[in-house]
Amino acid sequence: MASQYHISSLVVQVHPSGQALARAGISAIEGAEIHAHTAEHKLVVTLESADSRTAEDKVAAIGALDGVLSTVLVYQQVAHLSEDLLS
Amino acid sequence: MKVSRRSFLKAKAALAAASVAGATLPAALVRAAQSGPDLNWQKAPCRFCGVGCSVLVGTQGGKVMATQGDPESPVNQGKNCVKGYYLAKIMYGEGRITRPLLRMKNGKYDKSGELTPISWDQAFDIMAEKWKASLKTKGPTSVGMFGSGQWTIWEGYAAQKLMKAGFRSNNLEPNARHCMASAVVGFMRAFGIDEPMGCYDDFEHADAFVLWGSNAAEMHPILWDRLTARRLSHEGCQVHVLSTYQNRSFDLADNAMVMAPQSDLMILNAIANYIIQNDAVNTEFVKKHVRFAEATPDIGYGLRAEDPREKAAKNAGSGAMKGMDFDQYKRYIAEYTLERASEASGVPVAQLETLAKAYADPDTKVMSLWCMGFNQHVRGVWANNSVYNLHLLTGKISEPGNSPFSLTGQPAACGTAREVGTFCHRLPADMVVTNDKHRDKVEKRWGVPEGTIPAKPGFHAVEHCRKLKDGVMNCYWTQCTNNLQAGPNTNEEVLPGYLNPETFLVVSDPYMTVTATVADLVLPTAMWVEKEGAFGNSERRTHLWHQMVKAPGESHSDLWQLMMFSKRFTVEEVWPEALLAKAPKLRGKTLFEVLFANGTVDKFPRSDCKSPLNDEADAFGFYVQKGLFEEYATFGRGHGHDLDSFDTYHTNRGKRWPVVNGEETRWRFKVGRDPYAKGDGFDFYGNPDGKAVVIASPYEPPAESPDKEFDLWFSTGRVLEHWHTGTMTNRVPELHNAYPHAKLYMHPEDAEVRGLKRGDAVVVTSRRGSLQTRVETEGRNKPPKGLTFMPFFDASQMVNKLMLDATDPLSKETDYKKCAVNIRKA
Repeated sequence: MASQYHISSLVVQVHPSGQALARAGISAIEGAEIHAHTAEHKLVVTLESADSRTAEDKVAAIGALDGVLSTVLVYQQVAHLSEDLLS
Repeated sequence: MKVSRRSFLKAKAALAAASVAGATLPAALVRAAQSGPDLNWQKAPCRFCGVGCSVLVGTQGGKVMATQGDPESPVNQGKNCVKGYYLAKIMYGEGRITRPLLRMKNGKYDKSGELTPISWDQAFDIMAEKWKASLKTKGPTSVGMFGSGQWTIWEGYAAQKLMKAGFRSNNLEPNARHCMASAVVGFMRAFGIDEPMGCYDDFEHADAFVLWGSNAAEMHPILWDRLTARRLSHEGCQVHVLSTYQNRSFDLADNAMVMAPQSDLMILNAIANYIIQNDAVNTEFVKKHVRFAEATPDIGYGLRAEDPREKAAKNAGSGAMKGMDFDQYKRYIAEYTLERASEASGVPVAQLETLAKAYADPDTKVMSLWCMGFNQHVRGVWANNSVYNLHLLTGKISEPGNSPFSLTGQPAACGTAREVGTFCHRLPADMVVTNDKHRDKVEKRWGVPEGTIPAKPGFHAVEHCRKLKDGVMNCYWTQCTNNLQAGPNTNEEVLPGYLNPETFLVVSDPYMTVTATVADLVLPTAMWVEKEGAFGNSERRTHLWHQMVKAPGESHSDLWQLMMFSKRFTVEEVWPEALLAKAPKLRGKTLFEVLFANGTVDKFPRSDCKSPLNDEADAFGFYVQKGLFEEYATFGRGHGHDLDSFDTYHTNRGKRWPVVNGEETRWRFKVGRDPYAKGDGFDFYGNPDGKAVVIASPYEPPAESPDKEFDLWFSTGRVLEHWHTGTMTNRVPELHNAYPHAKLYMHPEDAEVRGLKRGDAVVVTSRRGSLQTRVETEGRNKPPKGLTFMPFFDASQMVNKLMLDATDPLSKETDYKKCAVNIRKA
């Protein structure tokens, strides 16, 4: 059966000294994945969720992590996929 | 490599964010992002604020599936704010209206009936019947239209033609009257030409930023991001923030100042005085490029004539100015000392002096930023002019980083409302109805007889409601705005006007707004990328987009509605015989034929449009948007408002006018940077003598201040998550959940003395009405003692019924920032 698939991406600005803490916090969030980072301490993060409410909670959770200075939302898409998504 | 759809989508999202961050992705991820069938991506400006970010809109199967910040946009460079991030969802909220609805009882129109679905033909039938009857019995001033700074450029232009030439009524206004009118009048008085001389590039060049009441951190987040980047990367960069309450912009402030309402006038004059007293005047610049004038004082508050405050004013509504010289200006301003400003504002002298020094220091490039704090102000025009005074006295203007910059609220308040001139006194390209030559030029270009456009300005926006209430104006059409929630003094002026039995109210909207719920006829409207459009942002950037999806049901764009309605009238039905006698060739023609099938607007074939979707071009058989744009652009070309050719705007992310020989202008009035500026250094060519005007004005009090009975200041405005009255954003679950209901921000001690704690239900009462809400003593806004703030996006808490409909008497823009209330436990 097709299910909803919410995919978002963010640029997360972390404090230079809080990088490890922020990374650990993000990795602990279900569906969140860090793909890259820059010399200016920006992380490229994607978020997968099954509904919009969870996606939004995850964005808020990242924003509230220790070591995170700001989040910039970049991409947002909702798709209907037949594969089992978030198992 | 076989990539699952899920991996492909994830890689796409990661790639978008990586391009914004400037990060390099692992090669496998980049390959994955390029492997799958992509959405159809096209550019469009964001639907919301005046910043004018570009977004990429991804469609599939006739639906918008995704959006992302446009990496090619010079404005936002791939970034999005939270509203822009959820753009894909604004068209798919609960409750789109899909059919015209007429208030009916027993099968026919009845003002006390229920909204009932009808056909478009029936809708235009009843509208035309009402308009014709009104025009016949009471004349052109009995019909009116209220549009928007969110209209596309051609929607505003089509409305302009239909109202001012077709119906011969100047009662056309945009909701931008409520947001930008003071800025416009300020520009016209000082520079003789509208809109900022600088541009967003100033953010990367300034040494100091001054926010005069603006909370850009929430209202213009992408510009705030650029400001923050400059502050953090440019050594010595300082941010000065002034507001009547502490807000999110204070987080970055080096000099954070909470001031008493209205005391900005005092502070502005005190800084001008400081510049003079400390020999910081750029005398060479002033001698060459500036003249001085004095504003007429005691001008009232734009209230109804019988209001005692209007009767008491010696020069109610007078915008007259008299010339003065520098020494007279110096004497005029001398009484405004930093000490006096400190006493009036509550800001310590040392902090005011720090601010004054930023302007006075010749080596500090200053960008001043303001928006509704200055514009929605009973002395908004004076405040606008007073900030220009600081930049003109010091010669800090029209150069990279030296920039008095008026921020805009709406996406096309500049492009549509101001440049097209959809105000009751204006015509395109800064022309006005009161000027014989201007009317003559417009009438000739439109091919209508001399005398078609009335010379008398129509009713302004606040007056619209008064005239509806008084039964002077009776047929009223609003598009793309929600004035029952956004207009001032709604219980005493707006609602009685709309409910007047003599009023026939037509509301075009995609959703059932509160205004639509009291309408007599509701017309379902296509929105954003459901139509081809053009906006003009705060920095004079015009940008276009194509239609990408179909609107639901029977919805049609405002443009289609205006043009179809024009087919219902022959010139004989709306023009007097004397006028027709001057143009016998027009006899028997419909307004559509006269205004739109006029050989200019219908010049370009449908095939010129590169988009497979263009419902208006299909409906009318020609490229409507291009024809309207090109006809409109002829007014500005060669007159300092030059727009590029229509087609080029579809291929770029917009250009800043004047666009001459394909080149945009970033800094106007500066010789060498602006093709219109001639001579030595600077040329303020909007004024015949090439000089900008420093305008002296005094401090005058607000229309209403707290007293014993109503003991607190009350101010209203926006929040980051919501756009204006929440029609779109409150239907996006993520945005609604982030900020579901309005609340009243107040100081914890003000709450405590009233026996209130955070979260308590309270009744807020002004002289005009009451509402119930909840108290917030923490969070993003922290008012000082004596002041409260509440946003207006929430339709269940109609904040503007508390507001007084006092306006700046020159700009006719309402002061939404100051009235007096009391608060008690519910």
